[in-house]
Amino acid sequence: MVERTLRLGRFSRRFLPTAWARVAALLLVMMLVLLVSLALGRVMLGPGALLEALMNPHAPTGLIVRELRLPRILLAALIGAALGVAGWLLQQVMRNPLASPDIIGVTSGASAAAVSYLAWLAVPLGMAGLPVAAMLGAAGAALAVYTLAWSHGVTPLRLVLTGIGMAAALGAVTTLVLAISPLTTTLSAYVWLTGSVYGANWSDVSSLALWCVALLVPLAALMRQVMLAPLDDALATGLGLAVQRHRAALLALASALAGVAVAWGGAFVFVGLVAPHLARRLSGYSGTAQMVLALLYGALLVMLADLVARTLFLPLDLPAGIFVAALGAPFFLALLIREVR
Amino acid sequence: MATVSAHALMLGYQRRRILDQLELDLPEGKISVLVGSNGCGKSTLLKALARLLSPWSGQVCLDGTDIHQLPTREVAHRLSLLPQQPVAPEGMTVRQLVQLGRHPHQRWLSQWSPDDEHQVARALERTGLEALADQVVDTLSGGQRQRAWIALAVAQNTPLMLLDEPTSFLDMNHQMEVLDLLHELNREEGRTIVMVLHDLNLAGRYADHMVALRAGQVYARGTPAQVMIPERIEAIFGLACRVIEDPCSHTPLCIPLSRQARS
Repeated sequence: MVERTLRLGRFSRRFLPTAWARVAALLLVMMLVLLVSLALGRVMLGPGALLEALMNPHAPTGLIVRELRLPRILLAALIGAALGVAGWLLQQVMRNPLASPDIIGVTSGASAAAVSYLAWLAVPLGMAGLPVAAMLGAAGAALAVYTLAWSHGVTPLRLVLTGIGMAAALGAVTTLVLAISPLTTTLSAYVWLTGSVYGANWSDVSSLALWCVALLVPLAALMRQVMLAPLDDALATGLGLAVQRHRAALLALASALAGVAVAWGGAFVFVGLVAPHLARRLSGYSGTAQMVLALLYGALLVMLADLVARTLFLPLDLPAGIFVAALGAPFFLALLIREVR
Repeated sequence: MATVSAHALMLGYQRRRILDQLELDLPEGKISVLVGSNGCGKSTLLKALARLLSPWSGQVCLDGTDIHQLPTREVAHRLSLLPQQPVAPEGMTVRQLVQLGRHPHQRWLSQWSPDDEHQVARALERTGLEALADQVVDTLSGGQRQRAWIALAVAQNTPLMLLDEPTSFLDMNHQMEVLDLLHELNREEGRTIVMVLHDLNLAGRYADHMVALRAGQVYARGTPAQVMIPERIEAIFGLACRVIEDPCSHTPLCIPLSRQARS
């Protein structure tokens, strides 16, 4: 793995060509998965029929492909991308390979809020408020974890432990609400807790895309600081990093990314844990390329999971969340085993 | 050149006071070594000098300005720090570690200037690590690893280097390897070096200026020959000893006396 240097005037960067080659390869794979996903479903389309559905505005299958399948696939990709980046960022900042949005309370906060909303507010207020409730829950939980972990600044270990405690407490709230609410609520809550992109439309896609861009731009500006996060505080301070300020900013970005992802897709777990690992194991130690890889692996994982979920048991259309772990876990374990040998 | 000093410095953890009205001035361009028994506050003092801890009262000054009033990045241009027992992120190579030393000199636009490249190459050469540059830090021997950390500070290219017990947990040969390297950096590049050492004899051998702490205050300071006299060593470490001249380096050598030898 040989690093190269890119210099244009005052602009300069180091980069790892092998890692960026993998980024390009993954993008190709994603395009392929996108095309296959567009073609497969209750109505199966051959290559010619797919092309026609995409190009001809009056094609009879155009509605299925352009208004049902395409936004759903893109929403899955965005959710996976946001969770992959959030998990990667949390693992960097917490200096802990087990950190993920599920473990530090963000997902549990969103879940408790979403389930409560479904139980008591969905009827009077309608379903449009669900993402808002989930986002507020995620933000509230993240803020609570940060505040409770504070003592002359926060340390990664305190954050992880506080997050685990918070996740357990909020998990109990979720279970309690499920237990005391009517059965119809329980069913929709169960789908939400599994994670699903069923019924996604273009307005969902554009809203989530906007959020992702708004959060990824500041993150890109802070990449240099992210790369110092795995060092211990004394070293990072010695290198001129304002440790506490940057830690707070990066945690806020990670929580927000995870929060918006679950707001639109429900509590997809495991993506935020496994995507960064795939990126790291397959790309070595490198900065931006590793983040982009975590983003792409996350996106690809949720896209594939949803493809399987809506085609494997036709005509059943299952929540994608079921298959995230079913696909991700064996691949993850295989990678660990290969590494040992 | 850069210099640190402390004035009426009070500092501690929770309610326990460690440093008490401490006054300290360190000579520029020299090797200063802080010595004292466990718990005397020498590591705390070094952390305060490196702005890792904020004083309760009093101040630490870098070139005459309160260090906590300076932007942390500005401080990182003048002062580098090697903490005790640093840990490299998993899988990081020596070169990647040393490259981190350029962080305070980089901007968002310019993250790998020709100067960055030059300083990293120089730091690797200076510390004799060129052949090991692509090895993962965790796989190196203790002495090599410590040289890699020093190379990071060299790449940071600051006139002042602070090191907290850079030789602890190293074998004797690796201790010498590290201290010889620091000595060269001082003599050949004029860097001011301030370090904590717990081995008094090594301190005596390499220090131009020795500062002995006792109960959170400077008890004695000066050349090793001025500080390392038996009465003072007894007061600092609570240890009876004889001091002879090291036949090789002609610096003072402390021979501790066992309880049996004293009677």
